[in-house]
Amino acid sequence: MDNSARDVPATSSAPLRMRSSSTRLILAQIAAIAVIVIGLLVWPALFPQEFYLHIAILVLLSIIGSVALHLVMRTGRLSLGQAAFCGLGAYTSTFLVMKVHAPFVMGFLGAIVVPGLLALAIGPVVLRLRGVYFALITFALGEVMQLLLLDAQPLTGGADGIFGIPPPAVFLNSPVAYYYFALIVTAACIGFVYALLSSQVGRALDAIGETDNLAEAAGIAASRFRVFAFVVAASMLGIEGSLFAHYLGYISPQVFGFNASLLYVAANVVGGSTSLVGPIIGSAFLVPLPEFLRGFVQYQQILYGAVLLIVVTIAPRGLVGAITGKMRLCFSRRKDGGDE
Amino acid sequence: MASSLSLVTQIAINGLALSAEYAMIALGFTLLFGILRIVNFAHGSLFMLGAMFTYEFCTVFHLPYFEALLLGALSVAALGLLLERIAYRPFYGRELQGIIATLGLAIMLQYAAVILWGQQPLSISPTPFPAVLHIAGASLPSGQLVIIVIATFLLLAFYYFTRFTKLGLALRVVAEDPEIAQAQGIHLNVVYVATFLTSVLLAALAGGLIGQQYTLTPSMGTDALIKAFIIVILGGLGSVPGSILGSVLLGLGTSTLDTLFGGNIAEVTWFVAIIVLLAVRPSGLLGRSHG
Amino acid sequence: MLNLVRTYRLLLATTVVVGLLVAPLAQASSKTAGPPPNAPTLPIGGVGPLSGGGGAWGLAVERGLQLAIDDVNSSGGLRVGGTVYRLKEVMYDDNYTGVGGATAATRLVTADGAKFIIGSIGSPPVLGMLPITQAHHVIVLSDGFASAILRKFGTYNFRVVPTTTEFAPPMAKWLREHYPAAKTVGFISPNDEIGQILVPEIVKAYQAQGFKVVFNENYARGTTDFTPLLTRMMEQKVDIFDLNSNAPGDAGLLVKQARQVGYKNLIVQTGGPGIGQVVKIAGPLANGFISYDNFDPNDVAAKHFVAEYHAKYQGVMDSYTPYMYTAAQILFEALRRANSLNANEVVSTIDHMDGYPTMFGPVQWTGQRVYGVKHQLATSFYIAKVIDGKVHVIAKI
Repeated sequence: MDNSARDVPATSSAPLRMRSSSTRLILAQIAAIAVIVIGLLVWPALFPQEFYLHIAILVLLSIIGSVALHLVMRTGRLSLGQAAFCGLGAYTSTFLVMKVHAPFVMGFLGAIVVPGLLALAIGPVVLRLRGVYFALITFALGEVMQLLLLDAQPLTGGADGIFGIPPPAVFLNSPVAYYYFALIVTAACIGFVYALLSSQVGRALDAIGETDNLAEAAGIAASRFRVFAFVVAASMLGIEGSLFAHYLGYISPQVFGFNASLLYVAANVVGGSTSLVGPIIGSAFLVPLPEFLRGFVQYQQILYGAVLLIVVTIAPRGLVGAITGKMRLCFSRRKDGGDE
Repeated sequence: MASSLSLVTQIAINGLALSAEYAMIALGFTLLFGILRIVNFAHGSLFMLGAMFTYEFCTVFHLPYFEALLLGALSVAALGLLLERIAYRPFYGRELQGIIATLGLAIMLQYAAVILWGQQPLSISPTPFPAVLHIAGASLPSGQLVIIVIATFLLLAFYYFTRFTKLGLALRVVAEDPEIAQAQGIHLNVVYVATFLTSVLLAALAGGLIGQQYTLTPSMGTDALIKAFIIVILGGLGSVPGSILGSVLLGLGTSTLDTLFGGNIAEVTWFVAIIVLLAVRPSGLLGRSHG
Repeated sequence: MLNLVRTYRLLLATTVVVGLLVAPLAQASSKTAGPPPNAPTLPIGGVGPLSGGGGAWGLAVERGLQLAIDDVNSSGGLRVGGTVYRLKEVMYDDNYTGVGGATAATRLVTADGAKFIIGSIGSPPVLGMLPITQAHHVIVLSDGFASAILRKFGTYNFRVVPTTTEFAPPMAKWLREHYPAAKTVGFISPNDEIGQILVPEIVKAYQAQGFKVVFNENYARGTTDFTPLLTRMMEQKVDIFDLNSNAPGDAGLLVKQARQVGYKNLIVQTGGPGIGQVVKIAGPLANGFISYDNFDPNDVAAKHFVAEYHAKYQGVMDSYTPYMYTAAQILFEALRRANSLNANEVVSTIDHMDGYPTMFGPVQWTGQRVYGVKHQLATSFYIAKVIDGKVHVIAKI
């Protein structure tokens, strides 16, 4: 308290103090990121049992999809049918590898291209809709895709799906190896989206998301950017589908339905939809959640629903919003030059 | 084997029954969106609870069917008032969070029902309406006639309510423009609660009515919700005449397509149809374009 | 206003926290005075759909397994290789998906150390489980209908429920013998595994007996009003309407609505069994309905099991429960006889257990010709008919 009298006069010290508290904030964020990155790299050493690797892989793959949806949401559209692209990618990759006997790389590329083409074909039409209407039409698209996967039995194996899908390469047959493979691909996807959002394209996307009406007045450009985001997202979901299929070795239509699409939405809302970190945290939270509720067997689903409701009630801006809010509180108190 | 007339009559009767069921499910859903801008993912669960409560009053408390139906619907409405505080009110105006909240609620309600009633299909037996009527060579189970009659009655009552009562008029003004409504002295909260109650009551009544004709399981709400989605897309979100039109289209359409072409084709057709419709006319057949 | 909101949030949070604390108590398993207090625990895995598409079957696994475990624990535990073990069920939901089955199996095998698993029911979760259990040499007694489940993953895996492949041909033969005037057959089935994979098997069985299939349509899962499809079926002249493997609830509605629409001929179910449900749902309209049935309710062992079930659990017993119970019985007896927990030894023991008595009759392994491995349980079955509102067993096959 007494220090304040001996300090440099307020006007020149205030900027210094403010800068130091925001510096601390940034340092804290960097430290957090470093811990996470190191943790991810040594995860298999910390938790060697296959089960923990399995969950980690599922989280990583889910992150790809949530981040993809995030890109679409940034342009002001909420899609309830993203799982359709994931399923399309999974079946494309499987088909190319198992029926056409192409190498995995071709399957992987196919999983990128085919959903992307679909998004390119329907995007211009579908993205003209806004708000709830867009949500409903994407819901319908998701249902149609699932039905098609179910009905096209000669091609897709129908209700029983396709089993015996080989891993991308022989050395990727082990969970540890696949974990690092998924980690690399997921990191690449996140990096790509981050770079995109930080670039001029990203700023344009945000502008479109913010001011729907004004952007519409600007005309064609807005819809082109939206379609671009939609196509990129579809391709990313195709990547997730391909990695999913070749990890699990078995795919069937049940997994690519409305529930899967909702998981991406939940990850964004629960994690926070304003920043890229949101869906990442959202997926990391939601995917393992049922595992913690296992002990409750029959109550598992009720608790899952309760957690969704509670999190969205007490953290309306998502977990990211809550955490950064707390962090800002922690670090801005120092600004007053002493404790309360 | 059956004559053309009796086939057409049968298709028409089946379609009418289906339309009546769908109309009741869709009405509450579109009401909630039209006035409160809420996409209620738990609408199907409330429908299911209406059915379950009716079943409970019928088979455990041995009440006559109509009393059980009424009591069941009122119980769900009471539950709805409690749920509104917890899972809806905090999210007015916050669509995204509202979706997740109602979704979480739907999951909770469904699996609570699983714990209470199990997953095996239940039925209200002995059935309260065993008779089967025969009209022009086609058959109509009396239970379905009950559904048609009550659905029509409810729709007419609702129409009367919105045209000729103060609260009903207030509802319509709020649906048009909440600010003007408030300026005119209408208490928004009263309207909101009334709307919510109406929506829940309609869903629960639909559940109890449909439950007597078919089987009941905790997952029956999911299909009801999807039907509601389809209908409001067809008819236009927030439009009551639209959801009636949508119900009739879906009901008669399903009946015709299923009877003439079999189940598979019909299902995909519906989703493709609404995709095309949305692309061409986003606000549905009768909806107004919203900003 | 703000305080009210905060209060409700707090209330909700408290309720959930309390629920989380209280729920495990409600789940406390019955500790019987059987095995010695310091007996080591042997976990027996259970995987089944407690949520999602196949929801009712998960309880069949959970409860069937638990009843078998109770039998063992209450008579002193399981003695294997000089040690007496207390058995403990570890049950996981697989959500009726492949990834759910894979996650449940991975957790059971690599985190919980389970070497034996009962379940799952339904092809998607089982196909998800098997690559993992196969790789880890974990013994699985399951019920997935896809034939690949035994053909490709048959080494440590046994199918404990007879499938359409096993009972459809004898049933079709019985029908041919008892209904010589019938010529045509019609099917209505859901558009999933049942309609796509099982119905073609039944079609083949009927055709082998000289019947002509004139109607074979699917409906979307979740449909409850079948009158449009039934109307369509009535346009054909159908002598036998077969409900194949429709779930009991759907079968009941199909019978009821078929009669209401005016269908007068024979209704049969080559699948299920769900005859009890059909009677409940269709009431007097169920009279004359004929169905495949899996045990004779007058059989002593069956009666005992049903009584045991209802003493402990509420609600309707799913028809797969006795199969899961029997599967667990077979497993525990094999462990006793093999006197070891080694997977290969136990498999070999199970292979040689033909003749071991169960409530379905003596164990009989078949499947060498069809699947390449004799890991399909064959049991005798019954044909039941609804007469005057009651179920009567009219034949044994």
